[in-house]
Amino acid sequence: MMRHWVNFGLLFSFLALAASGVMAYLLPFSLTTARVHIFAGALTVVLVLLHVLSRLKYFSSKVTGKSASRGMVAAVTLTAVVLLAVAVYDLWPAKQMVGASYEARRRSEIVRSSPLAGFLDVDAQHRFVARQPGEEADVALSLMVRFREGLEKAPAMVVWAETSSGTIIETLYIDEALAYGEDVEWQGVKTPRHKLLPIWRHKHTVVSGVDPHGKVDAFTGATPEHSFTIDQNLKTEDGEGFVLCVEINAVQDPAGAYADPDLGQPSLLYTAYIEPGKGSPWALLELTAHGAEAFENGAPAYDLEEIGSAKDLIDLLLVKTAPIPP
Amino acid sequence: MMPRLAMVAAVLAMTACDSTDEVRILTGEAIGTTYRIKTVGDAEGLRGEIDGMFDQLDRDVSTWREDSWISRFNRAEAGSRFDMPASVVELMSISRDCHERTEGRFDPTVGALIRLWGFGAWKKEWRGEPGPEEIMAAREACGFRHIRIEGHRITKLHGGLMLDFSAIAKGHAVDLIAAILREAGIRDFVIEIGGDLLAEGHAPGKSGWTVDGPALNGPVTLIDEAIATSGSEHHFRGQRSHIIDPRRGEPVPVGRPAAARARTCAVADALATAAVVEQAGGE
Repeated sequence: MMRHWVNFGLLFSFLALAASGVMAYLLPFSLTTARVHIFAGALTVVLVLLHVLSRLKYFSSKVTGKSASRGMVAAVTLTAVVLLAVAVYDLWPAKQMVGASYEARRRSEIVRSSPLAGFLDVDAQHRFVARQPGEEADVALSLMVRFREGLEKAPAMVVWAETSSGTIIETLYIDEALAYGEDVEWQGVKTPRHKLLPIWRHKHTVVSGVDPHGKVDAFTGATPEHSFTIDQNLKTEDGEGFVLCVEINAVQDPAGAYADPDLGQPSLLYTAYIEPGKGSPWALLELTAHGAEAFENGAPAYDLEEIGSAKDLIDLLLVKTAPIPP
Repeated sequence: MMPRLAMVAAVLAMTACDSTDEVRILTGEAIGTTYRIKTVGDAEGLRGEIDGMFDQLDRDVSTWREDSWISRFNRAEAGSRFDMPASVVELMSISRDCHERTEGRFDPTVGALIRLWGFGAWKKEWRGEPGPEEIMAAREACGFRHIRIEGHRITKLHGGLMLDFSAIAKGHAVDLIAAILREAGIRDFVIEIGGDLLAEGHAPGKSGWTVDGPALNGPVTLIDEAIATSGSEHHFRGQRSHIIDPRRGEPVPVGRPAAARARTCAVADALATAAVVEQAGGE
């Protein structure tokens, strides 16, 4: 009975492992795929152990018994070592296989926040974004986002910090569905990322080296003492002030002059100037601009009169910068 | 037989993706900024050599490291002699050429002024705007006349002289990476460190590499050429930038960034700094 459980269990876990592995290899990262892959992997390990335990006699007889085949054992061991070496030392064909994966092919498009940044969707209305200080810093940043009550679908959202002169420092949060490629699908609307969140996407070019239109190979610009980590700013002493920015965009919300049925009203930019260690630890982000004209060059527009319901997507954006005791 | 053929075909299909015409991107962080190297063909195997070059450059000319050659030189008394490594001597030589070519607008001997104004590694020493006498005293400690170079031996003739290669180090690092790529047989690449870049050969399907930036009037195509941008749009001390005007002993006012093109990135970097000084009215 046990043998049948192990056999069919292995068949199931192997199929799940293989399918989720192929998906992880070919498609953008998905937490669901990763969960299935990890679970199937763990299950496979347990079942293989049960399988080996149930056939211990077979293995010991092949290694040390009368029917031992040293040549076969040596060949199997050698094959395992060679395969391991190919993977560890990134040799052919492992190198080529990894190079053909989604991650390798789209590396410049993928946006990953710092491991010190995280987020939490408390409920449909509340989201928290936090950034812990790194080794050189001593101030933690947390942002509370409160969407309008009764909002059915949260808008696309990205959070980043930039210098007072507008150079991006670090992307703290971006929706997972938008983080793994330029051409994304957001709530059923297929659109390039630079049309959904145009202001951030153009700022991000400095980090990625790839412009939204894919026409430019490299960028020259002045970046004196610039570092793409916010740790240099999250200091109570001599931390430079920075601007915290949130860009949001709800799709399919046409209104007034913004009649595109898919994109509807443009993205909105909320900002606050933050000086850690100075004055109140709290700051409210204020509506600053919109991204209707930012598709081409990322320039925000400041005439907000024609924006309608999009202004009501967010009730509150509150940021706190709090010193962390040593 | 068919499954075996299918397996072979699958492996061949995957390995076929390793086309030598494919643009590969190598990125990382070094010398206080980021770098991005685009190559036609794979350069991942050169990462160790490139990181080693950055470490060497840091040990040579970083003013952030107390044990670098430059920091030791800057702390030394007048009359001290240093047998500098070839890499430092080479950078010194390039810098001196650029200094002469720009009639002093680019000057790596302004370390005393950079310290006085609290830039770079001396940020924490900033105690407010210095007075004219302090500026005069720091200016007195600047200039190539305070250094004697005899082969690899460099003698410091003024105790207050301080060298600072931050206006050329990024460009020089770009040139050093280019040399590593050429040595490895890579002919088509664009290397960018903190906004300074060098392009050689061409991108697949193009005549060169397309480059854009705030100091350019639209994208330009670079072929075997470097371009660097020096910026004064950032506010560091009130309405002043981080760039020192060697002639006046003060940071230049905030203004438009300037870009310069040259065959090597170190020269482009120095020329861009000189252009900002000139643009700001440096004599």
